[in-house]
Amino acid sequence: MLAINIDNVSFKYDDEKRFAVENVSLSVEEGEVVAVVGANASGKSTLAKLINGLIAPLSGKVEVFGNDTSDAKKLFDIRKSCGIVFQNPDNQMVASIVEDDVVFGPENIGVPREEIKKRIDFALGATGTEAFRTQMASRLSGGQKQRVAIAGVLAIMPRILILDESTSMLDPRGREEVMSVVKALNKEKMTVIVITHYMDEVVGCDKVFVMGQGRLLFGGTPKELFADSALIEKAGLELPVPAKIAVELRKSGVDVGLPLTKEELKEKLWTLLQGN
Amino acid sequence: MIKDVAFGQYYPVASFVHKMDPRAKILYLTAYIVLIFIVKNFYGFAVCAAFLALAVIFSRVPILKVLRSVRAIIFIIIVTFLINLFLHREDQDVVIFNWWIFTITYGSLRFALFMALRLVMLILGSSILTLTTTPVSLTDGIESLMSPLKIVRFPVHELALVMSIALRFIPTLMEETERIISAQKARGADFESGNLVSRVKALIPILIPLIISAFRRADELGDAMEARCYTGSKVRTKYKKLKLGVNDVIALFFVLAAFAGVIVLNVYTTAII
Repeated sequence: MLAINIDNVSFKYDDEKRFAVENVSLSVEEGEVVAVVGANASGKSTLAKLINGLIAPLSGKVEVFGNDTSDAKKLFDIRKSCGIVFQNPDNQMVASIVEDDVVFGPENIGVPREEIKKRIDFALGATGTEAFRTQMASRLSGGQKQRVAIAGVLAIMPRILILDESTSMLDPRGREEVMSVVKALNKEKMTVIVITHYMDEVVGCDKVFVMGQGRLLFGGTPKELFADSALIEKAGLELPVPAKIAVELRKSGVDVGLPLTKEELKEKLWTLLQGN
Repeated sequence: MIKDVAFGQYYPVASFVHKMDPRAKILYLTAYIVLIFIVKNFYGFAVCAAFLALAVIFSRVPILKVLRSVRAIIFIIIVTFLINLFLHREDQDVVIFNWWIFTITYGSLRFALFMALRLVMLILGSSILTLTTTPVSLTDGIESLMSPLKIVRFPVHELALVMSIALRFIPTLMEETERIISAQKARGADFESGNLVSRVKALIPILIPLIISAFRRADELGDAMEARCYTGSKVRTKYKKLKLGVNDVIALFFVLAAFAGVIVLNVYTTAII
């Protein structure tokens, strides 16, 4: 089933001349993990807001499970089915205590009390934050806060989860914490859209979209993206570290293809060594 | 650290007082404040102090944490104490100290101590409420106590949400202030020297970035709240239902006992100490 369908969408902020998003068309299947990458101000975050209906397209159409985001009556359903976790965990919590914050979403959509209790358990469980339940969010680390923020969105039980640079303010360990939560959620059929600067987060995705100056530059698999060195250059992206190593190795005459993960690289090197 | 200011600083332990309904706590605190203002003599304060001591013991908050709240108003206490000490006059008073324009009498000393004690008791009692009640349940309590105002279309829920968000952002903005101060100091800003005017002027480079960042945060928070389906109070359910429990009833007996004690002492004690 088609989770998100964006059809020739353009959007411009009031106070700016340039289109933030221009003639973009893309679609995401339910259950996919999709990455959106691109330089700063390339329109990535605007795309996230368009999908969730925080902003309506100037032209074109955005549909979430068949609901048009321009239709004000559908907005509530769209936001129920599509949650966003933003960049700064400090700016998306409404309550001081973890549990009270997680409760905010379910309360908003009118979930009965008994059911809310179950949802808190589910959301805290899925993000591994049960231990912080009654703690002050301000005392937690960045990674822990961001996992709580994810829990707050999960409690609404969306079918799509958008992470809008949600790991960019975290240290490597915090990033790992958040990404492992995301992977576990995807196993449970959650559609995930990861907006990111980190190429290692792109590697495991089913699809990747590259944005540049508001336009869609590329849509395809990570393998295809990283094979296109001209595009990587143009969009201001970097290869993942294993791929960088492979490129360097090729320069010195060792061909290991284009491995994207450490494991792949190790495997390639082993077979090469055994062959000799 | 500025983060640890006593105001709104919840002390997380499980205790008798922590488990009480915030509405009961607010009402009992109101009663306690009334009590402090009807007390006529030090015996009455002994009753209030006993009540306060019980509250501290049953809240399991370290006594030092409670006492620390006095620091916030120590200046006011000292000033009122001195003003009362030198200016209060009673009929048939005994002078115990006299130098130049300063005169202390037995009556003024007694009165000054009495008023200072009243202020101390007031802040101690209030701090027990904020130490044992999370800002969120405090606003829940206020929201519930104010809910009759909904009839006249007063936006009770919105007000409660605004309050809890404000409380939630206190530590965040405190941290931000510290960061801005450090950043400005690193660029050579000087906050410690100069006269009052130049010191106040030195605060401008702190306030402007702080206000700008607060607006940016507000903007992002608005988006995040909307993304989490916030639309106002129409379809909202409430997860935490406030329920009066046994603790609240037991505490009520103590409140009533304190009231009875103070009234009896007010009526039957003529000694002025």
